[in-house]
Amino acid sequence: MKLFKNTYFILSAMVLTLVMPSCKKGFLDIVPDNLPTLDNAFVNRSEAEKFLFTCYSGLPDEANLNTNPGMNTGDEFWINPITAPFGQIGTLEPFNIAQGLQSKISPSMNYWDGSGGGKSLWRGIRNCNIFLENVDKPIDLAPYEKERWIAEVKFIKAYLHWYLFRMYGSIPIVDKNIAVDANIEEVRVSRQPVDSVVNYISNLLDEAASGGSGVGLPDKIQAAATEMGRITKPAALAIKARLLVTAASPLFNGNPDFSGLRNKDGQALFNPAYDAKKWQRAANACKAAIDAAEASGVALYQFVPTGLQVADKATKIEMNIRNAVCEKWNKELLISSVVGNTRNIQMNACPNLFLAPQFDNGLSGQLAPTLKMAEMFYTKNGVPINEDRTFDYDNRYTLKTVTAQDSAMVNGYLTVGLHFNREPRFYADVMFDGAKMYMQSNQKPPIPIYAKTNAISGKKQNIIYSISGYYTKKLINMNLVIGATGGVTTENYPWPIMRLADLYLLYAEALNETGDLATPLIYLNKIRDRAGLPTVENSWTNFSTNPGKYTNQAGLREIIQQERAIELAFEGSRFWDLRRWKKAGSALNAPVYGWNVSVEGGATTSLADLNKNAQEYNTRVLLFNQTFVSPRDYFWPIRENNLQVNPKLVQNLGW
Amino acid sequence: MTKQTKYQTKTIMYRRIFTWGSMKYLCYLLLLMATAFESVAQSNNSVTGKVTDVKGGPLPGVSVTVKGSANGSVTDREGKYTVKLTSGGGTLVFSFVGYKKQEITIAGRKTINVELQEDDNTLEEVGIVAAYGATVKKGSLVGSITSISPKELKGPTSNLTTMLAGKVPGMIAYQRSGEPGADNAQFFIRGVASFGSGKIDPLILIDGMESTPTDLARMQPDDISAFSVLKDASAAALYGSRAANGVILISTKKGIDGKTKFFFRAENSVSGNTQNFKMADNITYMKLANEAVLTRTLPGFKSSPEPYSKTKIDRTAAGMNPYLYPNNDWVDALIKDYTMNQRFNFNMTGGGKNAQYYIAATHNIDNGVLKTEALNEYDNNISLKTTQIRSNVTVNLTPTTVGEVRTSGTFDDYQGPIGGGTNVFNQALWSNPVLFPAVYPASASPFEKHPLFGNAYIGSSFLSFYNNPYANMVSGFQQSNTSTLNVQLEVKQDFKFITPGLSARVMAYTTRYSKFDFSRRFNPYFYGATPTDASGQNYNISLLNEQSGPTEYLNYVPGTRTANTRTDLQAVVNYNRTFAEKHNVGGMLITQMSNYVTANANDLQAALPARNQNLAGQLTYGYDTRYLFQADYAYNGSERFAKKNRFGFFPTVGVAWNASNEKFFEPLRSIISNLKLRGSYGKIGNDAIGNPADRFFYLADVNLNSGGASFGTDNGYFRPGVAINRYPNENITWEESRTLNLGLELSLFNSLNFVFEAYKTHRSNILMTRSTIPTTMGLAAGVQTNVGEAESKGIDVSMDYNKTFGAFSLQARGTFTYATNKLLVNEEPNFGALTYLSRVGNSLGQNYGYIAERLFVDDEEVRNSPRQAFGNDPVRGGDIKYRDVNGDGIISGLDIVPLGLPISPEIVYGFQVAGGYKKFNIGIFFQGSTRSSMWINPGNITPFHLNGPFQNGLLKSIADSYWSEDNRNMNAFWPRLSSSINPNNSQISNWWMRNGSFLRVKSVEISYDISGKSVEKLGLGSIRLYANGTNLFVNSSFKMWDPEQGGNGLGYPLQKVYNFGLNVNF
Repeated sequence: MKLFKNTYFILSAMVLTLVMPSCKKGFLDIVPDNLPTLDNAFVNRSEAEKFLFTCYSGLPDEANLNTNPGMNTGDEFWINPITAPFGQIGTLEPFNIAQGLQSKISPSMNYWDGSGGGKSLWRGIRNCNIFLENVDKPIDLAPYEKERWIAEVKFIKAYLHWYLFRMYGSIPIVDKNIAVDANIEEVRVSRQPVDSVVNYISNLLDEAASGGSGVGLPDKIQAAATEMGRITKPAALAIKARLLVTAASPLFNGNPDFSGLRNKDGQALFNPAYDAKKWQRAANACKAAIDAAEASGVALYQFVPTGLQVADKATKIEMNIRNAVCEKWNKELLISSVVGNTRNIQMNACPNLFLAPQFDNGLSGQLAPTLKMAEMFYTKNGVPINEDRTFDYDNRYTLKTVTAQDSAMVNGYLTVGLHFNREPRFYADVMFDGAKMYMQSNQKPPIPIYAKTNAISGKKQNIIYSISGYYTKKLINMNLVIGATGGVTTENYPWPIMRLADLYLLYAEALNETGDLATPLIYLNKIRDRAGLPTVENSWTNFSTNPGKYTNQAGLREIIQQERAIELAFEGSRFWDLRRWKKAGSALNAPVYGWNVSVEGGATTSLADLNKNAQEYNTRVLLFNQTFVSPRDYFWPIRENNLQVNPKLVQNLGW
Repeated sequence: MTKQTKYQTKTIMYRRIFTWGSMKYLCYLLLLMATAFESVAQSNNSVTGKVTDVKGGPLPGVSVTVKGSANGSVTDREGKYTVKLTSGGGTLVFSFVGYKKQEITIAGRKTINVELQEDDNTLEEVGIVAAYGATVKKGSLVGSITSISPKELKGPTSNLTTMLAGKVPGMIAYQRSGEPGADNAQFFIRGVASFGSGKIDPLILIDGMESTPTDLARMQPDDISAFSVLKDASAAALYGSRAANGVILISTKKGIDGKTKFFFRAENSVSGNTQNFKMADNITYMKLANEAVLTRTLPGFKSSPEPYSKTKIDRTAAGMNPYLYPNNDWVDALIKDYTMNQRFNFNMTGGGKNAQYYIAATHNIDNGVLKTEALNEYDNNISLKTTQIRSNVTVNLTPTTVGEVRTSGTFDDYQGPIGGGTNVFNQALWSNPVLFPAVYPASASPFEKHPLFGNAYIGSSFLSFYNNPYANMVSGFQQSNTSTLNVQLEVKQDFKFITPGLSARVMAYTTRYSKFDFSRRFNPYFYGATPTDASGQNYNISLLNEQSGPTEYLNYVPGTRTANTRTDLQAVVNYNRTFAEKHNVGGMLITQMSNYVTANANDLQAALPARNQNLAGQLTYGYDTRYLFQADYAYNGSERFAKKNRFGFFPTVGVAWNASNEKFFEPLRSIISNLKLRGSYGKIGNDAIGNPADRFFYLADVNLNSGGASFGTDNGYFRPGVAINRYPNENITWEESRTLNLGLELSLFNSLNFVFEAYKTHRSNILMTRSTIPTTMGLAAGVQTNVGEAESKGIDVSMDYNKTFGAFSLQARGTFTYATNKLLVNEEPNFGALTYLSRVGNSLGQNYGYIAERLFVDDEEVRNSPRQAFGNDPVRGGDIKYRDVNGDGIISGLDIVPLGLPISPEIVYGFQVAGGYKKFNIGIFFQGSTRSSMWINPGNITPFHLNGPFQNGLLKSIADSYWSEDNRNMNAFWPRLSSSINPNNSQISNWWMRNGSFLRVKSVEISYDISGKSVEKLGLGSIRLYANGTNLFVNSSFKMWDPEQGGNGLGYPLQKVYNFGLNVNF
């Protein structure tokens, strides 16, 4: 046994000798100490600024047809459904919603999870929270700047919540980040009642907009070259106004349809009781926003011709309307989409304008307004076409010949009565076979639009073309240039999320609901004046079959709503407005029509050839029978998978 | 106890003392004997003789003992021995590694010459190579180690991995491709037991050096002295972290002192594809292409134009000029029927008392079956030339110190078509056969020096062309050169002067791997033909692609360069001694460090070295050869984990009972010659978890220059943003595997041996991305955690039978491996009532898809069935009808169910029978696998589908059985034709699932040995002539391609090989 003992001792000693050198510290410590971690993002002002910009980059891209859930999803536009694999529009995710193909398995425009064309806004909210938790760390960040950044990030956090609220109704509130290693119960958040969500967002926006002049958010961007596009106080107040008007609207205020939507513990998520005070609160928010905006120099846009630009009255009014959207950083803009670029929209809106090779310049014209939208615009007298005593509504699909008086169309052209004697916004917003378009690049005269098959602007192949025969002129910046060899230059304008006209209309709408029938007319008339129309009082009194319509709340509500649909047409507003007015059920359960665009015109640009087959071309054809399932389709489905991952989540009704 | 058993015990004991390396005990045998002799009485009688092999060559090192006594000796360099005897009688026992033991009665003789017969199957004498080079006698084995004779791995192939299937009990192996250089078989020890993106294949150690499957593939059986597979926790425990998926251990031969012996082998083989996929004729192709357009036109709509005119079809059918009416058989145009391959191996061994060497050289030439273009000066066919040089030198530094230096280099020179051989086979199907000929005859444009390739424009763009697979194949080549260099130094010291039984060794090695490739190609000239009259016979050709700048010269495209190196240092202390003749005590302590660096890292984290540290130990105790106990531990460190989890402790215990050594067993021993039961249980870790790029789980991965936003009037002020790619998680730790292994070894009548093993492994801590984190958390990256659990179990059986009847000998061997597994814990959401969506309880390799019921009868039935909205194409009669499993009226992701069996087979088996008569030998080996499913990828074979320049051809199986308006066969192989991939029909469903079982005649061999005077006259020792073949026949229910290729059916087929070879010893 002694031998055994000795042996073991010697063995142990040997092993120690062998093992010791390998145990020296560091053989497995191969990672250098200064690998980037989240702490590095807040070491100084310069790094923290990157994180601020990260928060901004979490905002949705609203300037893009594939990602703006309000654009190609309703009844304003129609596209060729077989566009997907080849077309400029890219994905059909938004269009799936327009076609009633939304699904809970793989939802389109899924801004909850970040799929189906959407991005995860929760991810953006998490970044905002990270920023707010860490913004005290950079030592070289001046206090005034820190306050501004905090206000900006609070705004972004509020905006992301608002965006989800508008899509899903009741949503969870993520005010503080949940730790990555939190246990399973902690991560399972539940949806909050609509009223709480609204109050939360509203408070957050108040915090963002708080402070006097020079504190927190700026009233107006001073360093335009480097800061244009960042959030201002009027912007934050304007979004608050939109939030509260939405919350006061019929979809959320006194809507019994969703009283059955409850959390699993029985908590009701929708308050079915109507509360008139919500409208007053909304009106106050609108007024505050208008005051702040006007004080900082925001005003309705007016076109001021310079240099060689055309200055006739009709063109000036057309440019008032078009440039209120398309002129970069014009004075009407309250808040624009930080993310995105409008080139894609313009390329899809604009048809081919010259006899260039069909594919080469990329102008597709496939973002086609529906006939319904064409009929929405007022007559030249400023009243709806079916109310105007001077407008031959019944024969609106009958051909007429354009005369020299109809300056917005090609003289001698044959087109339907619907296109005659309409308000300037009609000609500024849409183009059709025989219409004209003013372009800065081509100087004068305006370019004629020939839209029959095989004509310059018409259908040339089976995939990419305007399926209705209309084109969205409103979204095309006048500085679009078609190069001699086919390349197209576009001017990238900031996509308006909200402009002053929108705010005026929200204010008018809210006031009308509070019983004030006078003040709304002031704001409506400001907008009508800019668009070259007489006042509401004049128009209705003199031309309407229902002259007293504006004198009662219901009539004025209708007027405000149509004014809004026209003024904000093609800007992605109607989709949401129809929902909050609870009118989608009727408006979106209707057929979508267009013209018979497959009819060929003549081979030359002689008038006889241009008018060839005009009768066949100007035949109304059914494009689609839209369906809207109420109340299901008022809100997005939460992707089914989420309910499995988080059993505390409940699905929206009907999905 | 009898004297005999005492002696045996002692022998075993001494062997265990000195055996750390493979086959190393020979060097110590003399020493051992000398020690052993001390304890026995001296005697004056002696017997002498010479031991030779069957070919008459002397066998040095053969152990000669007197049965029942402690007397014995070993043969010298000339094979001569002298044994002292205590009496005139008794029996001599001759035993030697790899040879059958012989017992000869002395009967008073003074000279006894013996011829020993080779024995491929028993390695009992030398023992089995176990972890860290220790050799264990089979009887002392506690863990599950399978040892295969290197001869079993011989075959007419230069890829060792292709020989594994069916030979190794406990190994699941299959080969998916026959392309030279890309024909490695996949192999898993006891199947795949883990999931996720971590390592699932075994650790391969060649002479203790961590190696890749390709290193294993390049090994020559001639150079291998031992091949072991460590399967259970007890066997693999010492390797700790790296051994969770089993270990393959290979030892190369070492020098034997004596006169230099040479060995030479030359083989030439003819190889061809086992099976090519079959195409329909081109008239059918065109008719069906037209039908595909017509049949998809919705009622009331105008059809798109048919792609092929009646004139073209008629004139092609009439056999008019094929340059005007092309009628290509691309398989025939691209692929040869057979190719020739050569293999050469040469080795020599010899040396003196102080130094011995083993030197080997190998050169293998593997060619592809691709055709070449006579006008090209280069060869575009695949050619893989592999050269391997190996030198193992053993030096006796002091009487107790041995040094060994092992160096080897493997050099692959590859040349082949750009994109590889699989690409060529794919394109034989993915190319339009009737639009253009492969190449026009040179006479069509006599002044051009380049090949006049045919082609046609796609559509009207005049810029895009179809794929001419022939032009594509011959218009260039790619080349790659790979070098693998290994250098290893090992020093062993016997510390018997400190205490008997103590020894130690230190080993260090480095491997250097480098590879570079490049390609050269010309831009082919494409021509189109136009008829010059109405006859359909005369034509002119004109250049089509002047714009794209065709060239007659080759340009150069650089490829990737890969380099990496591994350095490893290990030290082992060994102790083994028997006390009081019954108590065998052994111990081993190991420390190892390894460092791996790659030159091909894309970021800082990937560029950091990968390191492992291992401190392991073993304690063995054996009582009287009947009861064996073994305990192991490994204490492993990995750089991948946070400090607190950096080291893992993995212990294992095992016991064995040699029942047949019990006294009460003696009456049975004539029938049951050996019966042993053993069992082990232990834990092994694995740090190769997760995505290889995702190395440091405890560190955040933050990109401070990602995304961002811009502001300013012209968006001129941009700042990048911050992106989080990984959240730090310090808790991520080792994946663990707990294995229970039970074994039964049984020998009957000394000739029929069975080994049964059953095991159950529980894998836990499998790294998974947490699926319980809702998206409302807003995390930018998945959170991973050690939560997954899986169980695998199975049985391995091997059987062998050896019997000699006079001049006849008969051998039979069989193996059977069944390995199955089950997911126990999966990160998955709560599926509520839809329990079938859960993966728990299913195999790790389970496939999921829709249930295809049949084809729709007509459009009316489609309208009345649940909505199948896959893409925008309307679903029609003749399309696949899926089952609405959850009954919600829509076929969606919620209707996906488990389908079939895993693609990796659960059962692999093999059996061989060999017989010999005098110098003739013949053998046949069957190999099969079952319990697997294979999947046809419908997108790959959708006829007429145009994907870029690739337009699919038509497989004969589709032309033979498809749904048509005229023949509404609801169970046809192919649904309603379409001219592009139909999204409804290309979903994963059981429609495309097939049984992957097969049984094949894997190899047949016939050989003849020549030895004796006639050969000696030539100065040679012996000559062996043999002919063999592999993959000669396969039986399977699947006929479209070789079933072993599975889903890779359009790839390079497995090869059927006929081989002739010659071995010379001198």
